[in-house]
Amino acid sequence: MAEFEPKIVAFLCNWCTYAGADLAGTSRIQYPPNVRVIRLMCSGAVDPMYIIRALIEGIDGVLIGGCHPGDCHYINGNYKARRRITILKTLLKEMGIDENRVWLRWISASEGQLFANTIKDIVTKMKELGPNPMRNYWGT
Amino acid sequence: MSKYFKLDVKNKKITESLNDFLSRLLEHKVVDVLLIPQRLAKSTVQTVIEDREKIKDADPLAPVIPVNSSIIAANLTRTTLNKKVGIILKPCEIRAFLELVKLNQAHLDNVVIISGDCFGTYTVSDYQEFLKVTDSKRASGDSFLQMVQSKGKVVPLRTACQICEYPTPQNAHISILTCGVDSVKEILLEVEDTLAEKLSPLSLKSASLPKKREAALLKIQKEKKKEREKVFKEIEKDVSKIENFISLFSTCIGCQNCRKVCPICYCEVCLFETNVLKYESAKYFRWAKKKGILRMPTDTLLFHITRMNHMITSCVECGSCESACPSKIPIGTIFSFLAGKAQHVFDYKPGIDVKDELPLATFKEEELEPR
Repeated sequence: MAEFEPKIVAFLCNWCTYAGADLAGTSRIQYPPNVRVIRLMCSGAVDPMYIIRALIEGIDGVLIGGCHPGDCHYINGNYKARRRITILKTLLKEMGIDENRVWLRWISASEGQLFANTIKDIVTKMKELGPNPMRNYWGT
Repeated sequence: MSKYFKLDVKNKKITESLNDFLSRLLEHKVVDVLLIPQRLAKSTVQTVIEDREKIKDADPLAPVIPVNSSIIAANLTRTTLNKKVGIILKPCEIRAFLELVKLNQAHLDNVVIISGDCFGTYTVSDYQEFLKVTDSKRASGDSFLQMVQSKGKVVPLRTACQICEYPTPQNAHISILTCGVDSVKEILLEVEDTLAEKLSPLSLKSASLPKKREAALLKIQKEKKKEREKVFKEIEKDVSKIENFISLFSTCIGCQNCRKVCPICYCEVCLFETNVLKYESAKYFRWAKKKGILRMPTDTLLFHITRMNHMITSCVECGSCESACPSKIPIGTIFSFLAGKAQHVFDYKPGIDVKDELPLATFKEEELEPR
């Protein structure tokens, strides 16, 4: 059987992480093709609903990428994202959904290498965790 | 600091002497309007009155919460008031009201909050059962108080009340104290200092806290804490595994009553009623193909977990959601259990201090790292 290839959804902020991903591309830095990128204006614009939806549907890992603290284009969106994701992860843990499937990372527009490394890290960790069991439950 | 007064009770008619006091608040213009529970046929509902003559059927201590009255209080105080409004709330309703104030849905100016020791409440349907076994001529608040104090067999309270952490009101301007007070003879009023001066035309008898009150309160809190631990231990088993969590919500019919009655869910239009969650038919078939089976209607778990994420830091554990659930899902208990965990992260207690900022409306530059 072929090796398990995790599916990752990445919600990236327009100003930093998305540009960082772009830089990784234009700089021809190699990273695993497991990630599906969704561009948003800010990490603070990610409603937890979209992360929950991805996890319920069986996505193996979710990355939320934002600007470094202090660098947010909208002054404080990333700080708010940090609080929201913390609550989400606290609740997921209590419900028996592995909270380590949700990653919040700060990656700037100049950190193409960091973006590639982060994707590599997630893919490795999700391979260790195995497939998201939610993909087997339809009663959601 | 507060001042204490006492009201004499004649013939064990606690509610009568309380109503007399409340009507005198109207008479002496301490308040211009009252929001007060009154008996209406088979239930007791909140009413707005200006005329003190209309206070006759009032049952302010009635052990029932048809809707969390903080929602009603928010409706009454949405804009700045030019009248002094006295609102009678249960302790959990005050907490929800303060959260609504923080959420800019209500105002505290010109509001006098009147509350009392709360020994618990029934759902509307259980309240009717309770009325059947009590003397119909008496106010239900009186019968209930007597039952509680004589430890008689009573219809079981709502779960939220059985596990309540705050049986005594906080942040009330006037608190009606019956716990540890010989309430067949007298009721104690705890009045906030600034308001106490305005009560002087009522020529109330001053009093002091009876020594036995502390012990009586402690006893109730201890009982409720024990029950809380028991209930939480049970629910933890059901919550902590995703299969069990799915099974908890397998009976959900998607009516969203839990959201509609929630005092904290104040959004005019909920995300789950918008087009964001209406899909083209191809999407259903694609989903069905992916997992092999698709539960219809869709998004049951998505709704509950998302709602939880949106409001749980402000959840005051009033249990309205659970009372409103036609499938009897222990949703209030689930939310209470998880609310504690989420609120603990920010060391936040909802509805306790109006100055505490909502965790999701603020942030610190250095916190919660590493993520």
